[in-house]
Amino acid sequence: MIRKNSETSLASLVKRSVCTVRKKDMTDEIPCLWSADPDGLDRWASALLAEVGPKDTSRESLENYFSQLPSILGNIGTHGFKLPNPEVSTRPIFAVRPNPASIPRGLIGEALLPPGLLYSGDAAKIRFAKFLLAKVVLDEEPTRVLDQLLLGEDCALAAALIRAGMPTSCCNETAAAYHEQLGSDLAGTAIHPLGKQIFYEEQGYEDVIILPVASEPMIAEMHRQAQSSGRWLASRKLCAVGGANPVNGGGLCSDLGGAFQLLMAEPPGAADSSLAVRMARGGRVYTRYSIRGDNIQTFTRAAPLKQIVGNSEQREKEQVAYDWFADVLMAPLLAADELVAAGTIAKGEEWAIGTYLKRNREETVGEPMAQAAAIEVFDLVARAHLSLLRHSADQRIRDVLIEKMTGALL
Amino acid sequence: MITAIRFHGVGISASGSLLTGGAAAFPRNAVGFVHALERHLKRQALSLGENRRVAIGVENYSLHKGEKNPATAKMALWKPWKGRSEMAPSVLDYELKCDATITLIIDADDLLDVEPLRAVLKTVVPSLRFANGSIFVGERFSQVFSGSDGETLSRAIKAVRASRAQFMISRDKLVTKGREFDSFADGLALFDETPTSDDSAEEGAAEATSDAGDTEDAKLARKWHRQQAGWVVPLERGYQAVTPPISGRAAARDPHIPSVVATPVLGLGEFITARRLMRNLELNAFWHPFSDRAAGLYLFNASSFNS
Repeated sequence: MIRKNSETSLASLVKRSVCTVRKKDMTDEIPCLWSADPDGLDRWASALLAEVGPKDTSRESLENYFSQLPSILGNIGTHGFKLPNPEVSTRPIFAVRPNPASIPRGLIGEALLPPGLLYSGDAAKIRFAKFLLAKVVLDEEPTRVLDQLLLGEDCALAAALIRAGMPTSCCNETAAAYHEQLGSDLAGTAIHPLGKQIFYEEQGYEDVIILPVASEPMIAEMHRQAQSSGRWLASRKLCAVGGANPVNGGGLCSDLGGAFQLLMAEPPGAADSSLAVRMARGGRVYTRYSIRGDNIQTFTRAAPLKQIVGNSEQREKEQVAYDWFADVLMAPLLAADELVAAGTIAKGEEWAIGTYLKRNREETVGEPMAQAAAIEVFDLVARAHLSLLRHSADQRIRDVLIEKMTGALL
Repeated sequence: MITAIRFHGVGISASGSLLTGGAAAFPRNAVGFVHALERHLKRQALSLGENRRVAIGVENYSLHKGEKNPATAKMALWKPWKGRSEMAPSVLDYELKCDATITLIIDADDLLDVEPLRAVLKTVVPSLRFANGSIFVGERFSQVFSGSDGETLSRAIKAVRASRAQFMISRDKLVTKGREFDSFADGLALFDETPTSDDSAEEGAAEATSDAGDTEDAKLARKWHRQQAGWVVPLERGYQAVTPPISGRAAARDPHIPSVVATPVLGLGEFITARRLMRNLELNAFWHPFSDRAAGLYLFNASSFNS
């Protein structure tokens, strides 16, 4: 929804117009400006710079601020990877391919979404992106600051920004960086090592590798739909991708908190095999697949227990491996313990694990109880995974692991 | 020729894309499985033949919930010898995982001898991971039949004891009125939390009373549901490229094969019983790859048994 701005609401409208994606933004309320009203444009430019510009409004500070705009363009695009590792630096891409003339009926393609630009990158620099992506209605046409800068310094909105302190050269520099990014050769770009690569059989050719990405507007709209009450929507599930610290992805990633809403397609009568459900049905916490075989292989390779002969670096690595694997072994029990604390009854558990889960929670856990539970966990896992059984034939390995597992329960 | 395979997969990817989850990715996984199988067969100078297509049945489905369990999800690819600060998680490790008994009915033009194909399948199938999951197969995992009539399909399903499987079919025809979607919201409106079933008369009556006050989309979709029995779900129907194919990109799984960056394309699907599939061979239960490089479309199309 576009509202005409009054004097009093201009500041709040500008504030909202620079929020790229917000869950609460079910509608757009953005400033409405006119080329023939330079005073209005000046007030808007001042309000915009007050919102996202430098706090210090000296000439040097403004020049420094605007000089960084072109470098931000590399982090603005229509599609992007969303990777779980906060250390990963990935850049969004522009959709350089035109949409097909007709998409087969019954398919929901992202091509049908209006193109949108969003920022993905270092959150510390998001104010630069907010400036470039700030929305405005100019002469009844929705546009962005970036679009106007590309039109050149003669454009009314760019002229207002220049009057507010933007260097004249900023338009040309921004346009040059924009076109350079559009024309960038993707052939020189390495595929991200964390990215998915799918071999696809292509008619008339040998094969093709699909690198799936999602457009940020698509994810954002899906998220908004999921949030809006009363919408008629397929079953959804929240898929966490990176906990509370996803890629510093600007407005979108910050709002999603590292989680996606996925449209779920589940068969009729799909069984729920979550730990909570298994326990509620009287099942056991530890099953054959409670511990992944990959983890056991990783441990057996990384922890041969040669501390006596290894150097200090080797010993440290092995210690880390033991700590990590003890955590892996105890994680299902600790998760079950949380569930029991929250009210789930561990009906299927007996012996030491049962004793631990059904203990009096007002008393501290004693070492004998923790050690007995740790031994039982280890034996259960080793019984299901022969490689661990073989590896722990050395009593020292078993002892070190049991000690660390016991510590996890205390 | 029809080849039927039934196996149990553990840790199958349940992430269709960044937009879909659960069984939405299964058509892609099945088409990819058949493609990989063909690649393996070619090394032994064998082939399933042209026009390969596959129907996919699902049983015993259960989703891993991703509890706070480092044994399952995100800690899996930690390299403990590097220390926690240098952990290297993989996107795959963040995916939803599921277990399921999968039935693949593979239909292809060529008529291979039964025994050589059975031998190859027994050798090859365990080495083919189904969507990054592990495959556990028994002795009776493959049956090969010659013929392409309804009786053959029926025999194939019964032979691998998949009569309780729910087959995934394409329901693009649910999109009526010839209209295209204007936005993702329009598309989402086609999906429903409340699926229908063959004996959903009571549900239909309840829906009829709730029509008042619904949006046009909701009314339309409820109308479809009353007319179409089944369990309607969103499905991943392929990809739309946003870049042209580019060869020689670093870190590609095969540098000689061009790669495209593509976004997921969604469609409507439906779970139906094996009995209903055998009864109505017109249903679009067979998935096959379709591509149009010029348009940038890489889709999983579906066809009926008769076509």
